[in-house]
Amino acid sequence: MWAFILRRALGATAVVFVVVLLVFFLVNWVGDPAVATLGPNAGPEQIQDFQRKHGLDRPLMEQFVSYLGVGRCARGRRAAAVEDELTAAIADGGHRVHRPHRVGETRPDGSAPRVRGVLRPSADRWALRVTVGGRTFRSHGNVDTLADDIADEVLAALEGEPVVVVERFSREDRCGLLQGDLGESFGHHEPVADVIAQRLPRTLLLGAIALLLELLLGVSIGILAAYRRNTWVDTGLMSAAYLGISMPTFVTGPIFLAVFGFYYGWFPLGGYGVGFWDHVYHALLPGFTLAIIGAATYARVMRSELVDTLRSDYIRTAAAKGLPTSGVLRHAVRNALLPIVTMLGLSLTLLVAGAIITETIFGWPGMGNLAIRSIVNLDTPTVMGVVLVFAVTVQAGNLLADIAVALLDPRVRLETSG
Amino acid sequence: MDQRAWRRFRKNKGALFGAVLVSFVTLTAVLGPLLAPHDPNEQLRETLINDDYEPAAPFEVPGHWLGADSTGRDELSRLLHGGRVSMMVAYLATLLAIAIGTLAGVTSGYFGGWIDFGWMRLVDLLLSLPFLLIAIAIQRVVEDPSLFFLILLLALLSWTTLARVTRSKVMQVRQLEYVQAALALGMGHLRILLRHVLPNVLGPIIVLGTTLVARMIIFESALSFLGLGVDPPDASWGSMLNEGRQQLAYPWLMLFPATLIVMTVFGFNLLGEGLRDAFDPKE
Repeated sequence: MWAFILRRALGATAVVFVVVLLVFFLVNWVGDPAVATLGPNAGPEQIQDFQRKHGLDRPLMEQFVSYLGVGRCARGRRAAAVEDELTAAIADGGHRVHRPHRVGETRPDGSAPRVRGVLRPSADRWALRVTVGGRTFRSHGNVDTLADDIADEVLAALEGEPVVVVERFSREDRCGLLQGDLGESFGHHEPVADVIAQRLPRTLLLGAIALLLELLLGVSIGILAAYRRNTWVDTGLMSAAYLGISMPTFVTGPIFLAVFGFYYGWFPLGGYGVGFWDHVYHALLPGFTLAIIGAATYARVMRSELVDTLRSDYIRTAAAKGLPTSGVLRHAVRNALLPIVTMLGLSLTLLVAGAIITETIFGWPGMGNLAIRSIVNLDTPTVMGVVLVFAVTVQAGNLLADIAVALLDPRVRLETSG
Repeated sequence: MDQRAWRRFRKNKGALFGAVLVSFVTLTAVLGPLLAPHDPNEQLRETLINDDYEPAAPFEVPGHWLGADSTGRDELSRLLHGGRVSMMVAYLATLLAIAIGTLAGVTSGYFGGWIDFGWMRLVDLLLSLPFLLIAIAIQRVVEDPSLFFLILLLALLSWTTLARVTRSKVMQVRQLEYVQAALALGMGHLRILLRHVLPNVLGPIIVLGTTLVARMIIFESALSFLGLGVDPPDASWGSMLNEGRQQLAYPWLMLFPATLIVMTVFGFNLLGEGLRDAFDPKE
């Protein structure tokens, strides 16, 4: 069993890696992120700056290796760019490149002032420590704003300070995918991990509500239909379920929004709300939209399994012994639930895929929305982060489904371990 | 389809209903331009937009029975033309997917080994690729994405399930005595595949192919819904639905394409299920 799980996990990891590889090259082939981020009016210098800062001027293969975190650090490169800037500023007589007008002073003796600056990562952010004389200045933030926020202080301290030492930036940094670092978003100006950490819980909330509704509706409709099998109740419910399977979210979503949001006003017209219960309230309509297809599928599976189980000998015996209907049903339902459990992994995949369209319709600021926005803006690091999360979710779902099947069905276990 | 299967199919009311829906939609798609009373892209502002700048509702203006959209284009004509695009894309993509899926399934199931391994890893990979995102990304590059491109993308997305099912069926067939006998007699692989293996997997392929058309329609509509399918002023049901949902004051603009999409998908699903019961009766 463990060998089976390990083998499948290795396979899943390989698939995730290839997905990351393919999407990385595809996104970079699609267009220039610098142009997409800075807009059509950006000058060639600005574009070059942007590319240098984010390491986009390097060969693609090198970029990919550094994205993975096996080679030279991509953010190290960016930090190096800041360092270059500092060095250039100092060579320029203590000027910060960004604001040369703030410190025009040359040293009284005409010597080149030197700045002692150390850039090192602290937790997930960067910190710049600059020592001028005996005083130390710390800057925290991401690379973009780094140095800017202490520049004034440092430069003020530089006044009249004859000797400032420049120390080489240390590269003990750890970054890249293998170090759990997803890079920095071009559009959001913050680490991709932070952006995803903000969005993922929202999508999970939506998915959880959808899954809950799926199971609740699907199982109860399935039980009712099986209990009243071959009556008009059964036919009606199963026809409805069949219709439900044929209704994609982009059809049901706008209709629900129009009917329950626009005409009746029972639900908000989209958005996320403030506070947990408000989030849940906002998630009900999109959650229901997401749940329909899954609920219909579960209802059909539940019914057919339950009908089969109700025909089996032990149920007939239980009924013949005089067990009340509710007791018989309880026995049968427990057995019929097994295939539902094995289908949960698949559900995860569908929810991830469905999230993109549902979140677009309802303006739900989750992963799906982020995915669309980042791909349209060619925010490469964010796209990669989202794709990675999606791929891992799908693979984990498949893996869990396989393990569930193997655990519940000894025949499968024999086959796969052979 | 043999006699017994046909008889089972004929007795299945749901399947027949599905067949009727499918034929109806397919026929209107083929005859669309002939049936459409007006030019789908012509803006008839004089007749179909009133003084309050509102489009004609269904049955308001004679000759424009399904009303007009907000720029005064005849809704019925647009639906007929839009359906043509959706159906053509769905059918062609399905054919292509069946071709790739059958090739993959039959070769991997029959030969096994490295061929099998290669195909199946490709399937795993394709199933985990975020296709919607890739479609959007490619949309950025290709200035004027042709329908051919859309068809290719849809086919690449969906041959995988077909390959898996065909593969497992072929693996069963391979063990059958007459196939083993043919091998022992020195019959070539190609002839065995064509004469003995393929006819056996035809049933599942037809069944899956039918439900695949439904999925293609869903996917094409989803892409058009996100503004990635056909280019305006041309329409497909998905893009019409997307336009409609932004104008809730004129609900028919949303309801007509929505109904047609659901009806078509429902029809193909029913037909597919009916065919499966006919080919492979469980009870």
